[in-house]
Amino acid sequence: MKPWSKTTFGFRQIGCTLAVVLAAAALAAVFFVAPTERTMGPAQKIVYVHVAMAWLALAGFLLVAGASVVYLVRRDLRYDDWALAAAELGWLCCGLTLVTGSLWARAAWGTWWTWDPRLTAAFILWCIYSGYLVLRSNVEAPHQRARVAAVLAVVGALDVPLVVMATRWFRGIHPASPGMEPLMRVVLLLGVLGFTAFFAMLLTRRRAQIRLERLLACLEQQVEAGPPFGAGLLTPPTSRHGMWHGQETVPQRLVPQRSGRPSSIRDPRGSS
Amino acid sequence: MAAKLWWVIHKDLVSEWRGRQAWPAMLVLGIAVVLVFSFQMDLLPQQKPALVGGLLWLAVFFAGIFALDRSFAAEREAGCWDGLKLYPVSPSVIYLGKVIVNVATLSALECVLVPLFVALADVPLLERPGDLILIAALGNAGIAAVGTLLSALAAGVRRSGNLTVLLVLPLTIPVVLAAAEATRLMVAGDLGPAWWRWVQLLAAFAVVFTTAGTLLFELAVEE
Amino acid sequence: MTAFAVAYLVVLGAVGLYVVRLGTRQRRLEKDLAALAARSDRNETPQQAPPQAA
Repeated sequence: MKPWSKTTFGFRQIGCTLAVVLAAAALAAVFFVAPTERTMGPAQKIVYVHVAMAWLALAGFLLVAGASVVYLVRRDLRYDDWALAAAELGWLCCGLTLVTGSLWARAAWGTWWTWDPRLTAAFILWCIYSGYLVLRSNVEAPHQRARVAAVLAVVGALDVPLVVMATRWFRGIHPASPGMEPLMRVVLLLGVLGFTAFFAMLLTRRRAQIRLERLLACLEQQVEAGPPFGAGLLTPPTSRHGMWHGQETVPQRLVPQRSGRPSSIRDPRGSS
Repeated sequence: MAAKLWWVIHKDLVSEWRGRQAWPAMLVLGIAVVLVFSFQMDLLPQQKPALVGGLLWLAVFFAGIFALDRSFAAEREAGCWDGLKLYPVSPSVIYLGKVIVNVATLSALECVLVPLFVALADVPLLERPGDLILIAALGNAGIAAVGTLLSALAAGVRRSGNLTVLLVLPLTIPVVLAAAEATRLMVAGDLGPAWWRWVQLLAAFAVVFTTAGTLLFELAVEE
Repeated sequence: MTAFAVAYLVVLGAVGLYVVRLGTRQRRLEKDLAALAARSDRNETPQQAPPQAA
């Protein structure tokens, strides 16, 4: 790893630091600034993280759906990287929404769980997220996996509004807008901002990591193939022995890459 | 296009008749579930009208999803995709044909389960047949639309196992919920605005997902 | 008091675990890349294999 003295301080480092600072400030505000509520006591403060997690779970799913649609149009796996990163973090946030909501419900209503609209909808969203991740883990070919997951994401995105409608008509005791004094609202906003910044940072880090993992998989395939494609990947072409005179570079992509372009099911001539 | 649609429907129905074994297994599963539910309902005679909606649609869902999963079985196992590709029919037509077959499958299931429920649990399900048929038609369309699309998706995945069920379950909860509630209100005789809202939700779900399926099916099955 | 503590501990714990997972995966990526580089170099020099019996 690079020594600390050689670390550059560009946008990435500034952004990460800012995200961590914002999140820390939000937490500090929750612990020290937010007033303790009269009836519920300290447990009421769970709402600050619960609302943030719920918002992030929903935003995460929108991101997954959006990235999936762009992938389906452009067939560029970079959009699939964003979809996977958003799905992982969204699944985490959705699960935390359920846990924190359940703990709050226990403190407020005396019951761990209730089939109230928002909790039910959050649970269904968590199930959709889980199905998405399970589906992805069952497919190995990158483009097939991206395409199949993208279709599921679009179907899920169409489903979520219907789920919200159905569960809302069923019945409801979830507090719509809790009566909050101004200071609490400020802390709530700060909490949402802080967690959003932090998770956005995690999202960008994870997406870059997914891209590297993809690159590694491609390189592994190339090295498996042995010489000549899988040899000398680290040797610059100009320093190779046995090059014929005048040839400066060797084309790197000698292996034809399978692109995401589909062969249509109705193409009677068959596909490539 | 109608001829091609009929060809797809005919192909699936005939192959089912010739022994694909999805319908018998589905009926057995449905009947077993109804039997268990009717035992439970006997223990709670006062709550029967309130429970019957949910239980009926639960039975339909679990048995039906089993048959839906099999709707792409031939294509997945016997490699019939190649044959299907040679026939000059657009993927959307294949999708619609399969959805219609699945709606017929679910309807057949309901034709068996509803009388069975009425006989075993003595609930007035058949008092308003027109309304029940409306709920059932829209509910079947919704479940079939989502189930067919996701079954196609899971068919391409080699180690799928029960993947279809896992994927379809959370997505069709609005349908099962709406159908159950509408049935419960119908049994209670309350056909007011609440009932209409649920029926509209069923209709919206069916329309949205049939449209989405028609557009997305080609993406789901391309290679 | 307990609910509050548990909630925040769970959230921070889960997020912390995710961050640790990110770090572990990053280190494994770098290790795999280094191993891959070594294999690629080995592929380049097959003549260093021990001579086979005639």
